[in-house]
Amino acid sequence: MTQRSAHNSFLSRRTGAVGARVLLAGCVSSCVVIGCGQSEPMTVPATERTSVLVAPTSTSKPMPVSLRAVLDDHQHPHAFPNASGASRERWHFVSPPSQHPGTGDPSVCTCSAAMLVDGWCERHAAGRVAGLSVPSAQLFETLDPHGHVIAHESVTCPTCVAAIRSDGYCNPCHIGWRDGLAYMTRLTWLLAGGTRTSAADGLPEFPAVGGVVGNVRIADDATLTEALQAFEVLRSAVEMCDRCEVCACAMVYDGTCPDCNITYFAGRPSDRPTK
Amino acid sequence: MHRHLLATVSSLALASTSFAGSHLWEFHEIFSNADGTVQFIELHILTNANGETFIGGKKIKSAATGKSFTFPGNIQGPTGFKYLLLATSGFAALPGAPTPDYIIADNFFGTAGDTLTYHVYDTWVIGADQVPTDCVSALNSNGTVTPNTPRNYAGIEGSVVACTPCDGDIDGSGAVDAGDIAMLLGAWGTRTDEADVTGDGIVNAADLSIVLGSWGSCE
Repeated sequence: MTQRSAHNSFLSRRTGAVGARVLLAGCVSSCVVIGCGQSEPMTVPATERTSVLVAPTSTSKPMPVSLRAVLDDHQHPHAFPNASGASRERWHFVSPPSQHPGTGDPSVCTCSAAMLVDGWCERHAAGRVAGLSVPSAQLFETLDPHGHVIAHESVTCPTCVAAIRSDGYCNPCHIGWRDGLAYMTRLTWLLAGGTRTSAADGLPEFPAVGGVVGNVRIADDATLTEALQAFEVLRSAVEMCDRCEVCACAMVYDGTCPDCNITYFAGRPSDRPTK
Repeated sequence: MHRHLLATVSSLALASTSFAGSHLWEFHEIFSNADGTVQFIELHILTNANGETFIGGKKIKSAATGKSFTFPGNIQGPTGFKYLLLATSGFAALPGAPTPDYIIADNFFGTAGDTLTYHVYDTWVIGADQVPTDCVSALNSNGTVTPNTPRNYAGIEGSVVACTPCDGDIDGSGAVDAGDIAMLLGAWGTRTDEADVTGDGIVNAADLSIVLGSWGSCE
């Protein structure tokens, strides 16, 4: 198999941004990673062959936007096709997802790309966090799965300064740091330290040690346990969206819903002082 | 061909790549006169976070009055160390007032205790006697009371006097009357700041003289 690597592809940027490597376990017989055009062979283990920005070699040329939109449209936002599905032969990762609701192209479905990089599909008004569909712009924004850029020299909190150096979490500020980016919820900070897998449609409830949270593999036991708990809070928050979107935001943020006057901690109403 | 696609993909990626949000805006300073017609709420970003532009749809709400304000849209960055100024139209009309970024309703927040929230990102619990209504002082989020320094998103800072100072109005009732005399006599001979109208460090006949000389409504 000969592949051309994408050192400067969209995904390269995004994986660096989210601090997680993207490994899609698709087995594409012969594929080209659309990227910088370099032609060095790249050896990929059979279980980790990537279809990120991939097309069959027989169609290894830019796809018309209209066709891309049609193909993307076939992918239901809540049913990401697994590696054995027909979609592996499609160009299903050409349109990058937006990171913020309201900024993407509403005519193009980016659900499959959003699945891999925790992005937002404008067309279907749904985001993805660890593979889980988040059908609320407010909740997706609050989760902040992509991280924030904050000039480190302007950070004065000593705990944050230490956390920046150690990829740690600042409890006083409720900000996690990973690869220099700031994450505003503990879940997204934990996920940023994991490795993206293709187990997007599995969403195992409580996998074994070294398992996955949604479609993110986390090797460290303690981190995994905490991430699973936070992921359950997210599930509950998604369900809450039908009743009160702001409450859903407060659940994942340990904040207060001003409409219902309920303060949440770890996803539950709490009497703790709000942040 | 691939290079062409790469360029397209990269431009799309760049267009959508902004590690941003609106989480880092915090309450910084509030101000009110006695009747609530002149109020401002100032938000601030304490760090050099330049992507806090996505405030559209986020709400600021007062628990005491039930009034809320929803940001109508996002703002242009950079946002690092910037301020946002929400104020009443009465504030905007005062000399020395920087142009508010957004206009809020009169009596937006309560002066006798309130809880202000900015989406779920920031909550400010304000005590019953914390908000000064002396027409010049503001309450800061760290609890200190200082002369008001409203600043808008453009970075223009100002200061307002929201009413004519009424020196003898010790109890802040809007009039100099028996209540002020009672407070003054109760603090007679002490260093109580509120009753020390002259600011000479002691409550004495000089303060009584000002109170009697200012007798009546402050209007």
